[in-house]
Formats: sequence, structure tokens, C-alpha cells
Amino acid sequence: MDKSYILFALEESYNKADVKDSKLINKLKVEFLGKKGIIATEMAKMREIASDERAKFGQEINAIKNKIECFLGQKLDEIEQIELTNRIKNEKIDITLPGYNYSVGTLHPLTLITEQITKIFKTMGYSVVLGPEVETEELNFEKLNIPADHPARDMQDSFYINPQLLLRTHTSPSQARTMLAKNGQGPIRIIAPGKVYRRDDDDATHSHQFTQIEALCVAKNVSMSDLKGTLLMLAQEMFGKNAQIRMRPSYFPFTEPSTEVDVTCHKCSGKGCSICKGTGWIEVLGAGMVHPNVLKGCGFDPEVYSGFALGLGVERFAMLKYGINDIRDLYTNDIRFLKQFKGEK
Amino acid sequence: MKVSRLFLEQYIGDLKSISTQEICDALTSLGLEVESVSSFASGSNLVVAKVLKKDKHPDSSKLSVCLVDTGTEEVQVVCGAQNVDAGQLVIFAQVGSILPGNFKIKKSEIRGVESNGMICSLSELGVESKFLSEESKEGIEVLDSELYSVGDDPLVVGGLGTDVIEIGLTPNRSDCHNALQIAKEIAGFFNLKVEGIDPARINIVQSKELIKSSKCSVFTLTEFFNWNIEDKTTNSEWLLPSMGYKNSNSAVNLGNITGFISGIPVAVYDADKVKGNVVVRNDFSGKFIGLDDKEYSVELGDIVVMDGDNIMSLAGIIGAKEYAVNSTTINIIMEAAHFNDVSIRKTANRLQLFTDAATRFMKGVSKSQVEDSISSFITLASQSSLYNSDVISTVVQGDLKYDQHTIDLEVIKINKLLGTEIPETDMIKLLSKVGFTVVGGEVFVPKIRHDVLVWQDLAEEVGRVYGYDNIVAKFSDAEQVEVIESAEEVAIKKIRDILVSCGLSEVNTYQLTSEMTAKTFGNNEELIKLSSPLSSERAVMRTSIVPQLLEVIKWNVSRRQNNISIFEISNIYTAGREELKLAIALHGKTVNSEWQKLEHKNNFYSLKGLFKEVLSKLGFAETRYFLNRVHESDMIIHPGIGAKISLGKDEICTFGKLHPNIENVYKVNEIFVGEINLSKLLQQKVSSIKVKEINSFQGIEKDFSFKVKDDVEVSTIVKAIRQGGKKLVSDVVVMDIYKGENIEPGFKSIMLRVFAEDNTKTLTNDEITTLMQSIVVAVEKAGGNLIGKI
Repeated sequence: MDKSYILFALEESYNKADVKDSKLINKLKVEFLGKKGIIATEMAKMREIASDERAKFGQEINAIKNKIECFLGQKLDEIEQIELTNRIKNEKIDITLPGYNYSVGTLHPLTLITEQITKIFKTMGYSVVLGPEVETEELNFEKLNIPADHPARDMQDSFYINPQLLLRTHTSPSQARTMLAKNGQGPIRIIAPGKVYRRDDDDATHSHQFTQIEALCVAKNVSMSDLKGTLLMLAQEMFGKNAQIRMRPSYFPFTEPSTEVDVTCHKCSGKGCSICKGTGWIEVLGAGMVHPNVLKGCGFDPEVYSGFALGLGVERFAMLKYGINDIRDLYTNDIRFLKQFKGEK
Repeated sequence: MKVSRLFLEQYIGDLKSISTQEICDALTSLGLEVESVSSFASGSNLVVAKVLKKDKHPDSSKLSVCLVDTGTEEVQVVCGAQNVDAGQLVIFAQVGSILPGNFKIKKSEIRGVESNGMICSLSELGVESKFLSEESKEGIEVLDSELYSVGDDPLVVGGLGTDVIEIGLTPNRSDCHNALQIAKEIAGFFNLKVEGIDPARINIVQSKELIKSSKCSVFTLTEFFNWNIEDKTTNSEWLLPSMGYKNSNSAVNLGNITGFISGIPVAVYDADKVKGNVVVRNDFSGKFIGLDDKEYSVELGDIVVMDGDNIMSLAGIIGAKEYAVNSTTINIIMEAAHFNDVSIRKTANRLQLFTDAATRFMKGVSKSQVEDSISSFITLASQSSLYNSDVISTVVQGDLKYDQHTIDLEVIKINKLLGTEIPETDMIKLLSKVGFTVVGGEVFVPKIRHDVLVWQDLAEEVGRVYGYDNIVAKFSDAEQVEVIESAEEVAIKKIRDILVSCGLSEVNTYQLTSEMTAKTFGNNEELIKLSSPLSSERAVMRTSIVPQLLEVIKWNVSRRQNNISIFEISNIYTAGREELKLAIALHGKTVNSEWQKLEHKNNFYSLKGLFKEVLSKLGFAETRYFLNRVHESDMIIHPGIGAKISLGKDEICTFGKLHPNIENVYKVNEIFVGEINLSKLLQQKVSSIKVKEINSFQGIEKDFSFKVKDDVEVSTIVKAIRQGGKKLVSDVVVMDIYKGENIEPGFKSIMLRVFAEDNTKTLTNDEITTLMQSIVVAVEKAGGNLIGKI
């Protein structure tokens, strides 16, 4: 018996119903597929059918049932999709309202610069050493070839605690400490970041407390060529691949030869501007070959070992790199100032 | 140190073809840092003109109408100077001139009279007034007709427009306080010759009566008779001013010139004013009037040159006015000596009197220069016929002789240190450019270069003349060392990471603070005090980071920045101890969104949570440490809202709400601060991580509410739950603390969620019931009554 009339009935009911939501689909489901639905009624007729035709009858009904399920399923999907689209349309929010204000943390710019420089030196095989800020005269001066009468030791320029003790004026005593601990046996590759002190009144370019990073390399056959390579690496990592360096002869008691190091002005790329006073160069640090008296005084034989040292001002690097005009900004910790370093690595 | 082109051209014959910029570049590469270059006087379109006629201005009593001849035309100009007169040679700024300060000269009408330019004074050309005579300060400059002609460029003829180069000398190059030495360096660089002066022979008369001080190694006096004090030959117009010295009488001028060609300052006295024996002493105290008309007091230890009981000069610093050479002087005494630099520095520092002489002695001059200065002075004086006596003799105490210093030329070592391959012959040439001679492998150091002592010093000489630019940059192939990270370094990094990710900003503050602050925030430690602080606000090393963080909060709050979460890691020093500490301070909110009525205000627990995170990041789980209340009498932390963290026997951290008394001082409320002693913490052992197997049997969670007395702490109840729950309780979470309706006064309700599990099996209903009963019993013993039923 042909049962396709059921499908026609479904189609007719569906079209008549003008389906707009899923409720009607569900109603049709009950009407056709429910316990008392048309299919169930048809199935009930099974018993009345001769046993040899039952299988065929069953198959036919099942096929129709599948078609109905498939049809209604498909329609339900369509309706649900429409319903979802409508719901989404009504769920619009004002995206211009402000987001939450999370408290976002930042590292201090002096830490950022110190970390950047430390990282560069670590890739070159340097370890970090930290020395005390309250230092002996002997390590701060004597061991660094700064004799008792030297102007640098003037009481006016340093913060003394007593005649033997002072706040270190540079991170260089870390050199002496490291060398003395090594008992004349190289090689040494260290960097020493830390706070240092000078008896200066604070103004836009001076700070009684500031931060230095000292690097020291002592080994056999270390030359000024090695120093230059190291400086170039540092300059290019910090100020860009095109940065060049210029070494000018200078003087520090603890190095011989000594040099002041300039790096290509980052603002004008060396063309000359107001930042570099038209020279194209900006002075960034002091360096040199470790003075034989320092090597000797710290237990190294200057005829066997040589070395280079460099010292740089972290504040100066920070000011150059971030365009900070007043060194005191680095110590005031205005939260609006600090927040600007959010994105910095 | 100032040096002018005018001076350099006088001593280096062929310098004219070399630009000032080239000279500056040379100086820089030689290690003599150029700080600035300026013109002694400047202006464009200037010409030497003759005043042909001067008439009164018809409409002004102070102005004159002049007719000047510029060599190419006759021009009418209105002039306001009183000293202008017909017949004078003047500096005339023509229409179109631009004078210093971008002052443009235009054709104009002054009170109805046409004026086509300006007759200039020297100040209008930018000359500092300290170099000007009273006449020159008052009016227009009248030029010397023997030197200038109409039509000349007034800046060129007498050197008025010379470039002045300011050099910042490094301490080792005190030899370059001698301008002639700078000329020699420049000449060497450009392969030019320096026209030196032939030193005169000195007739030495030895004496043993001059020096009565250990701070003077050589002292000499040379007397000149019938000195021509008004002679102008030493007063070569702008030479001295362009080098920074005022023109004076011929004796003072010659002394100054000697200073910059020999490097040692010499003094001149009026010989006829000296009554007794001249002696150098340092055992005198008294007062005198200096050449600058100011009174100075001399203390024991200061080096003085005495005439009997009268001070002739504060040695090497300033002369006494009483002995000054002036226009009535007939005979002069010239003093050349070597004084102890440290002593001069002390005296100059005390008096804050840094004269040119003092500066030179302080920077260190060589004893060997004394002889040079005597012979230079005599030579120059005799060249200009400044005195009239047959034989000049010099009374000397001390040794004038110089021991020639030599150093072996270590070619290989020098190349190795510089990283160069300079052949010996080239190295000798390089050294000769800066005055070193090499004979048979021995380098003879010029006597003025007392900074050159060892072969490494020679390496610097070779390097700077060779040019540091020519040294090749190479990546060090020297032996490598293992990179070591200290526990401190690692810990600091971890702390920064965790705190920044929790929304805190790192700050950096000063270590020096006031004694009062250090005492208030310290623990009665012995302070590290500066012997001479710059201010009482920065007089001792801080004993805690906290007060500086409070300052930061105060600064920001007063600038309407109300949400502050900050930390600082720093070494803290007390006598005999250096400790690494971390301080945290919180104020205001951490998350907020006003329009959503959402905010999280910082409180005791936000701070506690931060310390928990820091400790856990460093490997210390909550089970490793315990909390105690701060002492009732604590001055910094609110006793009711504060805690101390102890690890083993060590108290490592105190934190909590800032004590109201301190809040009042900083005028900010609701601040939460804490400080942790990282040095102590890092001494504690951290056990390595051992992974606990994840329990595969499902556990249960059950909420309890207990009524407890107000002063019962949650930890007491949690502890009881853990005891009652035996080993089955895996976690207890505080869900709510409630006071108010339905809870009688003096009590509170604590709601807790208990997690329990057995890692060998799933708990049965019976086991769960037994467990819960056991928990309730245990809590009852601890003073908590179950609200409702299990």
C-alpha cells in the first residue's frame, strides 16, 4: 500500500502552518512521530498485515519515518538558525563603554635598561656580581690606582661614613673584589650593576645617587681590539644595528689606555642635531685597558694577564633611549611616568 | 683651558691653512676634548672706518651726527657714544650687518636724521666686559691707528675675531695647562713645526734661607731693575684676553704669557716694597688683602710667601695687594716655584678661591717646569727690553735639575695591548709627533709629561696618535668563563615578574634619608651616618624601604593619582649588615570599573596574597611559614590589621595596614605596606618539587557554616577541620564571613567549603557521614557550633 500520502500530508500541514518558530516544528513532530502520531498509527496496523508482507510494510513505514525526521530536522535547523540570528541582533552592547581598569604593573626604566644590558653581556659570557654600596676606601680607591692625595678622593666629592668607609663612588670596587677572590687566576668576565653615590646636589643632570654598570674582562691576550668589539656589540644591541662607535682617548686612574666612547646619535643617525650638539655623536661611557697597577694590586700579573673594563651610567642610557630630560624623573616615581614603560621589554 | 687661534698661529707657523674645525677634530682624537668653540668677538659686514666729521644732532643733546669714511664710501651715521670724535678709527657696522644676538643693522632715521649703520663698542661685538678697560666699557672702541687702516676687517687685523677653543682637560694631561704644549700636540698631528723660544741661561745663586716649609720643593726669585712697566709690546691687543686673561701692566702680562708657555704660574712683586727676607712658610696664621681687594685669612698649614712678618702671597693662589706691581713700580721680583698640590687644593677649597694659578698647581705641575718658566720670563723680558740691568741672577733653593725618565720601547707588548700591528719604525714616528724621542730602544719622556711612567702609558701615546678609530673591532676570542647566576639574582627576577604580573609597578628611590625617618622605621639598629651630609634629609642610610614608598604614594596622591600599587627591591644597610629587602605598598584600587559598580580596593588581604605569591614563587608553600600578630605597641603597622611571617625561627616579614599615627604624618589614609627580608629568606632551604599523583578517585565537596565568637580566627576553625577530617581533607576554602541579622552580637558565622578525598577509593556515603560528624565535633572543641544540620 502506498504510504506516500503521509508525506504529502506533512508537506501540506507544514505549508499551511506558515512556520516561524520551532514550536510548530515540535507540534508537527508530535503529530507525525509521537506515540499517538500518524506513523505510530500506521505501525499499529502491522499486526493486521499478512506475515509475508510485514517486512516490506515495515520497511516502507520506516523509510517514511526517516524522511519525516530528516525533513523536520532540517526545518528545525533552519528555524533555529533564524532564531539565533534574531537573538544576536538583539544582544548588541555599547562597545564604546570603557573596559575595566586593571592595575597594570611596570618595571622601573632603570631596571629595564639594566636588564637589557645584562642580557647583552650574558650572551657574551659575563656573569653578574653584586657588591656592597658601603665600601672601604681601600677597594673604592686604593686598589683602583687612586692614591690618597688624588683629587677624586676629596672628602667634598664623596659621602664618607668615616675615614675608612664611604658610599661607593662607582661600581668599580666590584672589579677589585672579583679579582682578589680569583687569586691571580683568570679568566674573568663579570658585570656589576648597582647604586653609586657622589656628593652632588640634585638637579636636572646630577643625582647624588645613580646607577652604574661595570664590565670587566681579564684573560690572557685581551686587547683594545676586543674592547672595541664588545663596545660595538653593546652599542648596536642597545641603539640599533646601524649604530657606530667612536673611541676618544681619555683618562681614568684605573685604566691605561683609557677611552671615552661615543655612539652614533640615535636622533639624527650621525648627521648632527641639537641632541648631539651637531657632532653626530653622543658620549655614552668610559672604558679602557685595566691599569697594570690595578692588576698587580688585585693579585694578577700584568705581564701575563691583560683586561678591559667599562663603566656606564644607567640613567644616561635611560635618558637617551627614552627621551627623559630630567634625571630626577627617574627617582620621583610619578605613576604616570612609570606607566609609560608598560610595553617595554 | 682656553686656547685661541691667535695664540696657536703665533707659535705654529703654517696653521693658517687649517680650519678651526680641523684643529678641533685633531684635539678630540688626541684626547683633548673640545668643549666649545666661540669667537672672541663677532659680527658680519664690519669695517674699520674713520670719523671725518662730528656734528651735534639738531634734536638731541646726547646724540652726534657723524660722517665716516669706510674706504669705499662716506656715510652719515647717528652715534650715541660720548667718546666719539672726528679723526678716530672706529669699528663700523654697515647697513646689513648682523651683530651678536641676531641684531640686524638697518638704514634708519633717528630723531629725523638719517643713520646708515652703527659705530660699535666691543660689548656690542660680544666681548665679555671683564676684558674691557673702563673707557671701552663706556663707549665705542677707538682703534690704534698704527695697527689699523680704513677699510680693514676689524676682526682680523688685531685678532679680535679669533676663535677661542675651550678644552676640557683630563687630570693626566695637566701638562696641557700649558698652552704651548697644546700647540705642540696640534703641530705634531698636522706635521707642522712649533716656533719655540730659545731659553735664556740662568745665573743661579744657591740659597738656604728661602724655604721653611716642607710643602715647597723649589723656590726661586729673580730680580729685574728699571722695569718698563708701561711697555705695550706684551700687550699684543687681543692675545691675552682671547686666552682668558685681562690685559694689565707689562710685568703681569709677561707673567701670564710665561704661564701659558711654560705651564707653571709665576708671580711678580714690586721689589721696592719688600723690606725683609723673603721666606716660604706654612706655620703662619693671619690676614691679608688680596689682589682682588678681598680679605683672606691664612691658617696654620697654608703655604705663604712672607716678607718678614708680612704676607706677600698665599703661595700659588693669590698675591697680596700690598706687593702688587703697578704703574709706579720701578724694580720687580719674579717668583717661580713648585708648591705641594694637595696643600694648595686644601687652602683653595677652604677659601673657595680657584684662581688660575691655584687651578694649575692643584692639577699638578712638574717641578721640572720651574726652570723653563724662569728662562722663558727672562728671554721674553729681554726680547722686549723690559728691564735695564746687565746681569740677571736667580736666587734658588731646591733642585732645578730634571732626571730624564726613560722607558723601554716594548713594541710587541704595546701592539698586543692595543690589538694592532704597528712596526717599530712607525711606532717611533708616532711617538716623536708628541715629543717623545727614541734612542736605541729607549724612549725619552718629555719632562713635562710626568704622567708617562710605564710602557702601558706609552701604549696610550702610540694609540692616540695612531688613532683609536684605526683599531679594529673584534669579537673577543679570549678564554670563556661559565656564566653563573646567583640565588639573589634569580630571586630578584622572579619577584619582579610575579609582582608586575600582579599589577604592581616597580619604583626606585633614594637610599639616603633623615636620621629621624631611619630611627622611626628602623629596629634600633646602629645607623650608617654620613660624616658630612649635603642635607639633614639625606644624612643616613635608610633602615627600611617603606618610608620612601610612602613618599611615592604621597607624591602621587597629591597629584590625583589615587590607585598606587608599588614595590621596590633594594639593599638595606645598617652597621655591620647588608640585607636585601623587598617592600610593597598599596593604596586605592587594583581593578575598577565605575559604571559597572565594580572595584577592588586594596586591603590587608590583597597584601597578604601578594606575599603569598612571592613566597610561593620562591619555593615556599603556605605550609612552610606561619603568621603571628604584630606587637600591640608596633609603631608602623596597625596592631589589629598587621601580621608577621615567620619561617622556622626567622621572622622574615611584617606587613599590614599602616599605623594611623604614620598615616597622619604622610597625610594619606588606607595604605598597606610590608617589607620582607630576602637575605634571610634566601638562606632557607627550598625543597625540590616532587609531583604528587593526581587522585583518580572522585572526591566530595561540602559546605559548612559555623557560629563562632568574634575573636576566633578562621585558621583555628580550618585547623580543627583538618584535624577532624584526618587525612581525607584536601582543601578548605573560606566562602563567607557574616555578622548581623540572625547572629547574636559578639558572634559571627563562618562558611567554609571542605574538599575531601581518599586516593585509594571512592568514599562511601557512610564514610562521608562519619567524616562530617568528626569534623563537626572537632570544630565544636575549637569553639565553633554548626549552623543547621549536616
